[in-house]
Order: sequence, then structure tokens, then C-alpha cells
Amino acid sequence: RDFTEQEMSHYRDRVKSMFYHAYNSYLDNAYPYDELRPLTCDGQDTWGSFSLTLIDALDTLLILGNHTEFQRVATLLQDTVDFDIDVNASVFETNIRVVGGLLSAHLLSKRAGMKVEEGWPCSGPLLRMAEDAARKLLPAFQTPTGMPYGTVNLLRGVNPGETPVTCTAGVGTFILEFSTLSRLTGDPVFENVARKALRALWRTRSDIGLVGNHIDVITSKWVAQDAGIGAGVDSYFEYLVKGAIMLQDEKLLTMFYEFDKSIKNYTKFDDWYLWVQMHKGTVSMPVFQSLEAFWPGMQSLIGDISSATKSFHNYYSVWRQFGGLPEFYSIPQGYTVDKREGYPLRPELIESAMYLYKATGDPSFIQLGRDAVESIDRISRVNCGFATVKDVRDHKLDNRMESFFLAETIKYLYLLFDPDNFLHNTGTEFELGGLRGDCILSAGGYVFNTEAHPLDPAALHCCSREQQDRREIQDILLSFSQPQTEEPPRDQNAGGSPESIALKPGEQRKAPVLSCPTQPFSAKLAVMGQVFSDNS
Amino acid sequence: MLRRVRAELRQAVNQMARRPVKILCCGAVLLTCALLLPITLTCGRVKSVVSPARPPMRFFPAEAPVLDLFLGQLEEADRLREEADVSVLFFYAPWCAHSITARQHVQQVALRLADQVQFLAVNCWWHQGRCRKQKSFFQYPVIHLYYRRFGPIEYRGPVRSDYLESFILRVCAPLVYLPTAGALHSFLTQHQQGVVGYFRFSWSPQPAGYLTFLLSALHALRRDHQGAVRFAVVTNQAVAEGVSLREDESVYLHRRLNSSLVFPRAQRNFTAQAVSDWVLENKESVVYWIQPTRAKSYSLEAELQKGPALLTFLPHNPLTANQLLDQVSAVALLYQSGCGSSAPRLCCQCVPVCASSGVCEVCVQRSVCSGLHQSLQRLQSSASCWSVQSSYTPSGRLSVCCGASVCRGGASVCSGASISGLQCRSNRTLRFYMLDAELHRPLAHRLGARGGLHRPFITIINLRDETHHVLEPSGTLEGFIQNFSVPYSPLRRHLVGQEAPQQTQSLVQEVTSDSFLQTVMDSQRDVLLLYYSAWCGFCSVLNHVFLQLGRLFRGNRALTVARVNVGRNDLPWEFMVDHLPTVLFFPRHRKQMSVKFPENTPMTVPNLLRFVLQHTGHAPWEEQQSGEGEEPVRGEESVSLLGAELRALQQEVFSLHRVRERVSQQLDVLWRENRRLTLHTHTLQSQNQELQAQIHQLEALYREKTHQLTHTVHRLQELADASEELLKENTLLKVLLTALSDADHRQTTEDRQTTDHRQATEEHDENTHAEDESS
Repeated sequence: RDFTEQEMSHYRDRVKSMFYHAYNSYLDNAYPYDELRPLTCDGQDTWGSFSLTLIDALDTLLILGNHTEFQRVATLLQDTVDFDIDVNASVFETNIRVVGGLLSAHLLSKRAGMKVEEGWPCSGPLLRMAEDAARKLLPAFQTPTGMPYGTVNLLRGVNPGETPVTCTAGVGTFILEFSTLSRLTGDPVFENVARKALRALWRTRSDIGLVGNHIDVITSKWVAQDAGIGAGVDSYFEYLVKGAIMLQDEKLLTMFYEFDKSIKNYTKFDDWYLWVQMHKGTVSMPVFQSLEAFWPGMQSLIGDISSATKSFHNYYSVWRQFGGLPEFYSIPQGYTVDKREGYPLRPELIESAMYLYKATGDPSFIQLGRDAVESIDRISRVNCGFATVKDVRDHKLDNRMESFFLAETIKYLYLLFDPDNFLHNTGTEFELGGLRGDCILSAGGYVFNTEAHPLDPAALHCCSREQQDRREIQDILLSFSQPQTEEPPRDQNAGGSPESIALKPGEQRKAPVLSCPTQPFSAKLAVMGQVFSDNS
Repeated sequence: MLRRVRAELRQAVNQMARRPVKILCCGAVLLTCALLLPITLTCGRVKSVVSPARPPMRFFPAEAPVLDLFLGQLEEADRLREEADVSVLFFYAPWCAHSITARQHVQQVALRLADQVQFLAVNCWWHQGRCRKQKSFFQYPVIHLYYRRFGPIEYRGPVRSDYLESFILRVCAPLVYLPTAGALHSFLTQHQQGVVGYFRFSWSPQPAGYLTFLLSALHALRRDHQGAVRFAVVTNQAVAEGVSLREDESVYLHRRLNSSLVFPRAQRNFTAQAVSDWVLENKESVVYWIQPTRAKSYSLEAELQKGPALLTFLPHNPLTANQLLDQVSAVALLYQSGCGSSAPRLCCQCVPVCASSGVCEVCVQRSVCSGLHQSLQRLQSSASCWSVQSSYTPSGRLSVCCGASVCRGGASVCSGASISGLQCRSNRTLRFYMLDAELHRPLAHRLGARGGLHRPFITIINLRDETHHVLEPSGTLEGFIQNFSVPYSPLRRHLVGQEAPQQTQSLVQEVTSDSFLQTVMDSQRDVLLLYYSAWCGFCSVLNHVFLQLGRLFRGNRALTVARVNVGRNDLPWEFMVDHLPTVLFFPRHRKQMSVKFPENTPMTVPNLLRFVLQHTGHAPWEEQQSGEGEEPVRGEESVSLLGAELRALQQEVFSLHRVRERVSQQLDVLWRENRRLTLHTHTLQSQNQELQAQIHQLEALYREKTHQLTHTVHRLQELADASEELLKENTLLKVLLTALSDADHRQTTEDRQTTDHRQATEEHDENTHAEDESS
């Protein structure tokens, strides 16, 4: 059944109400700590003592339409947040939440009505804060391999005796934020360290093309050899795909397709993805982890929508069973796994629903959103916010509300119910900016980092390649105005000619790397739970 | 620590600024204090705070005729169920959106059927309830029906009040009593699938076979939640003979396309399960219903892989008779029946003939109907009737009657006859499916239905050929089927597209299925076309590239920068592409020579600009052939491009002008600052001179005071000499005289030094001595 605009509007208001219940509870009871503790109505520092929930929630405020609060908090953060603190911070979490949150807020600040500097988006106070935070993380990358430590002290750098073992995602989840930072500021060090880490990680894959779960960044040895798409490794694959999209980088996508081939060969079973031994390919854990639910949404970005939809329906059936996704779900038994029964209000399945609804228009994905609103609101709402579910079997609650609830879960829910939100812009509107004020910006195509902070690829182009493009255009025009006798040789250099479309005998057409296949005829019929085999 | 204190102070300031929140905060604090006590008591450890699950509450309103067992009391439900003839058990989870939606539907049905059906609701999520302990549901809600002690019958249809009510009524009355032959006839003709049982009640109060038959009807409902099979009972022998039932306890399965059947008691045991299985195995369906699925399902694919399918979306209320349904079923029956008929049938068609001024009615036998048109080519101009042996159809004869008179047969006769038994005469066999338009609205819209679905929407889907056709509002169903079945079908592939966007003056023109040919094949314009979709990441990051390109070519009436969302717009075969993004250039006057942007080249503004310029203008050799007419056109584009560049340069010059003005202003400020500093310097110099004068005055005053002090010392010495005796007795005076003597010595030393260095001051000393003597 379809959803009327009235129903969509009702659920947008529900999601907005949920956000402010949590957000105001944080401001009243927990600020300036990192996280709200909703059962005891106080706060705690978790990831680094910089009011993390406030930074993480900043762009959600704008997406919900609250410009004044966005402006107030953006100004407040400039006055209060200090990264020169003696704190051991997670390199991964600080990057995706703090650097990502500040970059996103910077890129959206003009839309929020803030007075931006003349060179925006290539300069600005929030951008400088993001750069400051990222520089505090750079010491972690000074390893023989280029793969970063998992933890770094923001004041003193990497502590002596810091363990060199970190999870795979902790190595491969920097290319979006760090390349954005490099291209906006002009300092290439950030993108360089991120790429070096990715290359080092790429060289460590097994003979069957899989990577493990934890690695020693000094020796490149795999410490945990379970391979899958879930906890510890998930955002590595996500960043290969999204990095390829945002940077138009073929190498990153080629890496992903190599992994994807192995993942489909060894881990995929009946539209589930199992955990296997990275060298042998044998099943080590027939388990669905809730973090894996991001995978269908990512698949839709490269056109693998049929496979994405089938996996999504598997994951959705788990939600139907429990009212949330437990950390681990035993596929053979169809039930939770001991000591892994919690649901910390993770966003991943809702994220996939947002992507797949945008791709297909299928109301099944809106239905998941409705399920999520009803479940979270009825199970987790307490007087001081929303508490994580300690056990999905009986809905016991724990005393924690992670910042990703405001940054991701609420944001993806709202975007799912708001198809006309500016973040869904398909290029029908834009604004101008840049050093000369003639860059096209905010034209859609936002790339979400793994913490749902949107990054505008047009801004990266504006601050890094606009000058070069302008010179090229001028050269083209100047050469165009030259005598015509010089043009025939240039015509021969161009590949665009009718003959180039024809294939030589025996030649098989290869798709360009940075492209998506058009959908088969059966995609039109795949709606409301109906799925089709890949060969039909 | 100071940072945190400052932050907390700032937080306090913020809270003071928001008074309503503060009031709410006070209330929240009080509530929190109240909640903390029970929370603290339940904590097993000091550090970890865990809240138990929220206790269950009523799920249904108190006034609803549904007994809400929200503590999961399964034994209570079982006890109550045994007391009623028909019970509905609604198992729910209070957090489940599907349960919440189903709740109102269950309420509506309960309000209408409360007098004959008992409705029980059980919270099967509450982990301390018996229901949760005993049952393992994978999703909620679950609806079970019980007919006295038989059950459960799980309802798997749509959870909507009309469907649910229809199903419950079927469970309440699983058998229909047919008292007369007329009732029997109506039963068999009105229902797609009927099963009739014959039982003689006069021999015993309730025959054992009757109970078995009753249970078989209930068994069938477990698997047939659409209720397509209807069960009826006959007790009169004369009525039973109408369906060839002569023996007691016999069951008849009515079929129309094949022979009807009688339950083979010789081969099967007469049990409820066996009868139910036999019915479901042998039942025939002229039309199949497609139901919405509750989870991932391959059922639609399985049906479509059997061959081309005719889908009829129509409004449907299972509680009322549906005339549209009957009409479509009749057509489907006609299509599938008559295959076994041995009598040849004529297929007549009226066609105009150019050779003569009249028309000819051409009749052929069924087997050569498909060759009708080809045979007409062999017609000769004649005014008389004859029969000819056609060399193309050795088994048939062609009958042609030409003349000025009208045709003898009407189109309806021809059309009606044409689909009778068509299934056997065509190698493109259709299967017929029904879908509830309300439940399948998204699918109908994807296939081309527009707006509300108040009238039937009929489409043929050929999965193997990847085509689908839509019945136009002006067409007839029979004609639609006929046109699909003939070789070289005249039906065209239906192209579903978006509605045309508002014609705003946008930089990139949005093209849809309807506007594609008009825009792209415009012979007066070059068209640069981007194939994209909203879901492809590699397309959306190009938005700013194409907008920039549109800006460069803005105002150029000879070029259109366009894009088409192929995820939402079907295109003719020859314009489809296999990968996104793809860019094609369609030059004006030579649309067939479209050029594809090279795949190994990055899609940047300079590359796309180069691509357009290379293929917009003509090659030099072509230019010579075409003459001078092309030159202005090429110049127009260059003028447009140069104009765009000129505007950019003007903007740059304007920026430089602004910068120069700003620098000039800064220089002016600096000049004024310099002048002010100069004035300030002069002021300081004059003040310095005044200070120098004051220094001289102070020096003079100092010398005067020195001389006065020396004079005082001398006078005191005289006093001391005159009073030496008194000095012996007064120690204080002695100390004072010692101090004065020391001072005198110091002054003398200084005077000597002054005298040595400056002889001019000797006169001043003499004057001082003179004054001393005079005073």
C-alpha cells in the first residue's frame, strides 16, 4: 500500500518531535559532556570531551529546518570546543563524528543563513576547527606502513605503549573527510595519509581476496581473521565506494569490486552475508550483525539494486521479529546470540531504506521507517531522551544515548519521510560561491560519510580544480578562435566519433569503471516485497 | 577545569534565557527524582543503570468489543475460545507498527460481527506472559481463527477490515446449503470454483460424512485465504442428480474447461485432509489472484515466467459482488474454452479493396486465420463471389465476396468469435491475473496507471521479451487480447514516464518519455543529452558539471543541454543505453549521426565543452561543400561562448575594480594616519621644549635652596658655641648638631666641585655671603 502525503507529513513531525525530545534533554542535562545518559538524566564523556553530541547533531538541526539553533550552536562551538586537551581519543570516531560533523556544518552554513567568509566554502571558522581536529589525528598515521593507530592523545600524540592493533575500519575510513579537508584547504597532507593507509590495507588482503577484522598497523599482520561486511570492517568498503564517487577515482572502485567479488563468492548465502575465515573462506560465524545493514544502501549507489533489495528484506524480517536489530542474529537459529542481544539504536537499516526508497519508490521502505518510528518511540523513549535497548528479547533499557542517534538515526528517518528535502536535490537548484563567487555549489549529489554527515562534491571541485578548469576553457576558446586550418589535427585526437561506438569483431564491450548499469526490465515489477532472480 | 567551569556557566546563562524550558526542566527534575528511587532499587550494580522493560498496557480501547489480554494470558484465551462457536485470536506486539495499523481494522470488524464472533487480543510480546513463552512468532500481528474446536486457521490475507471480515464470514459459514436445483445452478455459475457434497440427513441426525466434508472446507481455508473455492451441501437426491451425484456421501468438483470430477473414494480415504488436498490439486483457475506478500517473495516472477500475463487491476471489495471481475472472468473463460471443439469456425473480416470501389468480406477457416491479410494480396478485381483454393493454405479454403454492398457480418461477431478458443490457436498464450488496485497501487503506477484507480487498469506483461502493453481507455479487452495474439502484433511497447516538469528557464532541460523525441530530435537544435538516474552515485556528482555547462551555453538557441532520468522514463529501444552516466550528442540536421562521449574520458566541463565544439561545427571539407551558409551559424555559437567568457572576464574585472577601490581606500586611510602622526610629532616636540624650560627652572630653585640650607647651618653653629654647657646635658641636640655638621661637610664638598668646574658661579657665592651679612 502506498503512503499519502498526509501520512508522510505526520511521520516527519513524529521524527522531529523525537529529535527535540532527545536534543533538549541533552542540552538540559548533559551538555557539555559528550553523551547523554537518559536513565539517570546526566552526561558522560566518551570519545574525547568535546560536546560530541552537539557536533554530531549540528547538521541534523539544519535538515529539520532549525536555522536559528544551528547558528547558535555553530557559534557556540567556536567559543567552547578546544582540541588541545590531554585526552586519548579514538582516531576513527573522532574523524567520522567531529571532523565529519564540522565539515558538513561548514558546507551547509551558508544555507543555514550564517554569514560566511568571502572565500567560502574554501575557508571558514568551522573548516578551521575541522582542520585543527584532523591535525591532532595526524600523529597516529606516522607508522612504518602508513596505517594509523587506533588511539591518539590529542595533546601529546601517540602514547608510548599504545597497542598497534586496530580494526580494519579504523584504517580505511578516512578518505572522505581527509580528502575533503585537503581539497578545501589546499593542504594535501590529509588526503595523502588517507590514501597511503588505503594502499597499505589493500596489499594485506588474502589470496582469496578478503580482509580480516583486526590488523597490526606496524607489521601488517592480521590479528583477527574473520572476514565479513559487519563490525570492524564495514565502513572500509563503504568508503571505497563513496570515495570513488566523490573523487571520481577509478582505483578505489576497482578495489571495491575485487572485494565485492570475493564477498559474493565466499560470504553470501541466500541473501545473507556470513562471516568466513579470510584465508580459507570457510564459515566461521553464520551471523547477521546489525552493522551490516548499511550494505544494501551502498549497493544501490552503484546500481546493484536487486541484490540490495533482497538483503534488505532479510534484515527487515529481523526487525519485524524484535522491534530492532540485535547486535548479532543467528541465521540458522533465527534468534539472538548470547550476550549480543542489544540494540543501541543504530541507523544502518534505516539508512538503507532511505537509499532504496530513493532508488525505487517502493513503499516497503517507507513501511520500515514507520516500523522504526513506532518501535523506537514506544520502546526507548524515557523522560530524558531515548535509551539504548539492552536486550531486544524483552526491551530492557541501558543508560546511554550515543551521539549517532541524533546524527544518523533521526536524520535518516527524517530524510526517508521527506523526499523533497534539499539533501535529495537532483540538481534542480543550486547556489553560487567560491573565491570569485561563480562556483556552482549545493547542486545535490551529497555524499554521506559513515556518520551521515553530508559532503558536497561540488565544493571540493570549487576549491581545488576550478582554476584549472577555467584555464582549460579559456585555452579551448582561444584555440577555437584561431584559424581553422589548425583544427583537423585536433579532431583526430578526440575520441568522440561515430566510428568509436562500433565494436571491433570479437571485442566485448566493457563498462566504464565509474558507472552504474541500467536496471533490467524486471526492476519495474520488483515492488512491495516481490523480487526477481538475477538472470530474469 | 576552568574550561568546564566556564562552559557550565555558559550553560546556566543559556538556561536562564529559555524560561519555558526551565519550568519544564524543574518538572523533569522532580519526575527524575521520583524515578531514580525505583531505578536505583532495581540496579544490581552501582555503576550500571538498567531499566526493566516498560510494563504492558491496554492495546485496544476499553469500548472496543475485543477482549484485550495484554499480559499475554494464553490459557485464558484458550479457555474463552472453547466457549464460543467462532473465535478470532489477534496476537500483537505493542511496539509493532503493523499491529498498530491492524488494530483499527480488527476493531471495525469486531464492531460488525460481535454478535456472532468472539474477538480476543493477546499481547504475545510481553516476556513474562505465557504466550511469549509458548509461541515463536517471527513477525506480528498473527491472526488465528477457530471454528468450535477446529483450528487454528491462520489468516494470511491482507489485514484490512473488508478482507478480514470476508474471511471470518467464510469461517462462520464454511458450507452453503443448496435446497433447490436453481440454487445449485446459481452456485455453480456464480463461483469460479465450486465443490458440492451430497449427504442424506434422513438416515441419521448428522451423518459422519457431513462432518468430514465440513472439516475439509475448513482445511481448504488454511491454504486458500482468498477463499476462491466454495463448498456447498445438498441433501435432496433429485437436486444431487443435477451434478451426477447418486450415492450418499459423494463429493463433486465442478470444472468448466475440463471434465468435472467426483471424489474417488475407491482410491482415497474419505478424510477431511484427503478431500481438501484432492480439491486443491484438481481445481482449475481461469483467473488467478495475486496477493500482496508479507515478506520477500518470488511469486510474481514465478507467475510471469510461465508466459505472457494479462494483469487486471480493479477496485475490489471482497464483501460485495464485482461486476468488473465477472466480465473479465467471462472473457478469460471464453479465451480458454472451445479448444476441443472439432467444428470449424469462420473468422470473417471486412477490408477495403483498392481495386474496386466496394469492400470485400473475407472468410477463412480458423486454422488459417493468421494468413488472412496475406491472402488479400491475391484478390482479383471482380464483382462476383467465388471460392478459391489458396496456395498458401492447402488445408483451407478462402471465400471472398466483393461488391458495393455492406458486409453481412458485424464487427462484434467477428471479434467475439475471434478470441473463443484463441488460447489454442495462438502460440502466445496469455494467463489471466487479478490484482486489487488499492493494494497494488505502486505496481499499477509503475506499469503506467495514472491517478486514482477507479476504473480497471489492464496490462499485458511479457517478461521474456521485456515488454509490456497497456489497454487504452478507448480499446476493448477482446481487441486487446486479439491484437496481442496475432503475429507481428500491432501493439506498441508502453513507455512509462514522468510528468513533464514545469517549463522554467532552467540551465539543463529535463526530458521525459513524452517529450524525448520532440526535444532530442529537434532538427533545428544540437542536443547534448545526459542519461542519468537519481540513485546512481556517479551521476549525481555530475550535477554541478552540467549546470556549469548549461551556464556556458546559456542563451545559445542552437544548442540544448538536456538530461533524461532513465530510472523513471522508458525510452524507445534505439535510444536506450546500458550504463549510466552516458552522454550523447545529437547534431541538428543529422540526428542519425549521434556521437557518444568517449568512455575513457573524465566528464569535466572542459572535456564536455571540447566534445560539443568538435561536433557542433562542420569539418572544413564539408564547409566548402555547403558554402558560406554555415559560417554565421558557427559564428553564432562562438559568439555565444565568447559572450559567456566575456561576462566571466567582466566579472573578474569588476572584482579587480573592487579590490583596487578597497586598496585605494586603505591607502587613503594610511595617508590620513600618516598626517595625523606628523601633527602628533609636532605636538610632542613643543611639549618637549616646555619640559626643557621647566627643567632649567627646577635647577635654579635647587641651587637657591642649597644656599639657604648652608646659611642655616652657620647660624646654628653660633648658637652651639654660645651654649656649650647646655650641650653636655642634651644628647638630642648633640645628635642634631652631628647630623648638621655632616650635611655641611657634604655641601662643602659639592661646592668645591662646583667651583672647580664653573668659575662663573663664584660671583653668586659672593652675593650669597653678602646677603648673609646683611640679614
